[in-house]
Amino acid sequence: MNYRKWLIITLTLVGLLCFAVVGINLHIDHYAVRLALFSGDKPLYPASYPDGMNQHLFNTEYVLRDPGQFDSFFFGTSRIWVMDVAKIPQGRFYNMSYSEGLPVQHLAIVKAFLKRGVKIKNIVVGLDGFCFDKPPADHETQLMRIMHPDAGGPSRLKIFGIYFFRKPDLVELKGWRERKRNLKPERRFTMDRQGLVLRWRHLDRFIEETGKPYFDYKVEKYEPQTYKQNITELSFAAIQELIDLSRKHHFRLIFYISPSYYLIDVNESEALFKIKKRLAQLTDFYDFSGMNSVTTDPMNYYEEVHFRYRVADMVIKRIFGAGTADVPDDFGVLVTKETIDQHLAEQQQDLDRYLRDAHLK
Amino acid sequence: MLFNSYVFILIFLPIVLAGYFLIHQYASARWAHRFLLIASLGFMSFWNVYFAAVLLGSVMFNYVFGSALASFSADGKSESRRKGLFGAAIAANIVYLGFFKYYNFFLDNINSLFSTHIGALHIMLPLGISFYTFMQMIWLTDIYRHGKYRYGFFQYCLYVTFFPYVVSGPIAYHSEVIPQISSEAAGRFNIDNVCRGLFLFSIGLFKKTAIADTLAMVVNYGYDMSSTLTFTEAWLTSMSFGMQIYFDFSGYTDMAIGVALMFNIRLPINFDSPLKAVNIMDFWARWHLTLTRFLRDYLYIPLGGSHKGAIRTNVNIMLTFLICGFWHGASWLFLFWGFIHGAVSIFYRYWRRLGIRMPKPLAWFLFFNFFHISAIFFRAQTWEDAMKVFKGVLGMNGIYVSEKLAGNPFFQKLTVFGVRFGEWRENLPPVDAHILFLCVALIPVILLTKNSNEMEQKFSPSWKTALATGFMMAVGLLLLNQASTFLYFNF
Repeated sequence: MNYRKWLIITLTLVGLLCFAVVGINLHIDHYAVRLALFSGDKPLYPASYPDGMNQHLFNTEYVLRDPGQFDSFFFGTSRIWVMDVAKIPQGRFYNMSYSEGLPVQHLAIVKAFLKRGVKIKNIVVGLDGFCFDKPPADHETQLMRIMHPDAGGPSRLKIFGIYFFRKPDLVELKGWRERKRNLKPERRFTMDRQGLVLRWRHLDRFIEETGKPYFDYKVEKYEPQTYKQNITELSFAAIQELIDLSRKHHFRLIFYISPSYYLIDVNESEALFKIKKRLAQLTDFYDFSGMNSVTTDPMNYYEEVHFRYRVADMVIKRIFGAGTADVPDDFGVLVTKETIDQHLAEQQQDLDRYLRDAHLK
Repeated sequence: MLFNSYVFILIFLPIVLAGYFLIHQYASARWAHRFLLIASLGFMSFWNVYFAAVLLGSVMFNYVFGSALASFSADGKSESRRKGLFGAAIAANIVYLGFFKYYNFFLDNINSLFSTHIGALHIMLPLGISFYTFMQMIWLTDIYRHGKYRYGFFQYCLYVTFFPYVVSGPIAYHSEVIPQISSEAAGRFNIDNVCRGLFLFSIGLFKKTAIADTLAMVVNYGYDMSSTLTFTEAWLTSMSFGMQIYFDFSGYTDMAIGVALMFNIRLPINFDSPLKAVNIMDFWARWHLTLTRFLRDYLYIPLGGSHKGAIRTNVNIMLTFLICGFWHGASWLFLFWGFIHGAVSIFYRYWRRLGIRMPKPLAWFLFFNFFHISAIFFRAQTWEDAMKVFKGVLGMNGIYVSEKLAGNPFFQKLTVFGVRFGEWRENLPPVDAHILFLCVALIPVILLTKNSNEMEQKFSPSWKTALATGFMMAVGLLLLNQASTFLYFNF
């Protein structure tokens, strides 16, 4: 073989191998990125994937494709996945929640919506401790969480390279096989047309049938945690900017603190008190966290982090007065600048009592 | 711009290659060289224009000094004036390098020693400064020694700034590169060299992206994220770094040599299977060869080498290794690493005189472990990190093996030595076990396979080499999305 022929063969092989791999990755489309960004006008629904999809990208693209389709949005982390926004009568809602959603990202998406002509009427933002501790930069390399190009993410070309010009992942191949064979359909990450994630329906049935909680969580030690100061500042700056935008563009903006399972929040309680105190200086908000009849009952959770659909319905009922859920009186308190000190004093008492009773202090 | 980036592989390199040969063919060699010079400065500017400016500043003053020195030599002017000028030129280079690389280090030490609060300079370490400063000091020394080697300005600029090696070497001598640049053959598109260059480049890319970056997962977690390391964890971390630095740096060098070869410039080799070394002298005759020969020819021998008595020889060895360590970075850890290598080199000189011959596998085993354990001080960011890994290697943080081995009589016997059954990888990254043990799996590879230079020498166009190159290149390209910088860029 002469050198010229060798060079041509080698470069052709490189091209063919890369082309084949890109083809496989495009076909598998584990994170729904081809569907969202590179499928032309193909409808984005039904959306059903084995292990989850990049909702940061998918949800944003879905709304931007038809800016008139929705005018109200529920933002938050994966805890908000269960929020059935179809039950809210005021506005055409879409559940914009995405895994590890952060205020900085919500802000970037809201700005993109406004820029692309989405007429916003309502925005609801679910917050939890996570929002004040997780560096947004971590998401820049996580395939599940890279942002949409119009919301501060990489360009479409770069996104194509990141998702498809890479070695195939065995886990993704396995997921693709399951999807093709229609294995474990109930465990798939499936969303309805308003962003409600349905993947926990089977767990709901399981919990109801067994009458037992699906998890067991204990607090071993009381070790108060703090949030990263720089991330807290970043999140508050984003919250302030969201408030400013709501005033400028005349949309209703509601914040609430998610109803985390009480025990999971014990070590973060004091850090969260500071967040609540500061948040109250900026805006009123609903507080569903702390010790109440919902957050202390493990039957209301799939695991220690994610609450059930029925809890989501209670949140909607408390904030919007809509739906048929029975909401306990102690679940969800509207906190204002005037009531925050009293509210936190009560939560501190609850914490002290718990720590004393559990012999943790 | 990294070699392991799409922009370099798919855009920069093809354009510069095509441009260089076309200009050579349709315009002139002079314009082709200027084009290559501009491309090289562009390559540097892609990171930061400031890096290119610092590089150009260094090139300018060295060229002025070198030209003046060459004129002095040609005029036969007095030796003292020549010596003075040479001394000033070398001092200027040391000050230049010292200012950018060591200023804050000295300041920190002065502050802690005298409890002063002199503010640190907020300057970035210009990329490649250690490499191109040494290359230019070699040129000045050669002019001083031999009274020749005067080059045209653009020729000299291209020699120093040539993008394949300007960032991390190899530290090529002017006498090796400039004659090649000036030769008639340099401008002719040579498909043989392009194929060989591509072959080498694909090996380097594969080493970097598939091996070094995979090992980096274990290394970074063990050194930077874990608060403690038990015996097994520390050994895997330490060995992984030993392998990582070899595959990273030799991978980079393969790419540099491969790219230069595409331009018909053959660079000196930098690695000759160093992890096959059976003792420290053997190692330094195989590892970072262009740095070693610089230190030998321009430091150790001028200091007197081994010709001025035993004590002076030991002092010279130690001084050379201390400077070698300090060259790698402005930190006491690098100095300590240099000290360890110096001390072991001196020890080995005496050991050799005893005439005791150690079985080769045992010698290799001892040296290999010395190599990666001493590298703890090379990799660690702080003394605390270094001691964390070092204590773990010594078993001071406990020795744990998998609970699955609890039924094994051999491991049961080891419990008298403190071996416990339990979580043995708690402080390692949550990756597959084959990644944790990649450092071990690579041992037969480094011992039994030919190195890239040997492969390149035996290269011939065949289906086998085409398939291998195609595979390595494709894998390298597909792994670029997780690209990281080269370890030696820090130096």
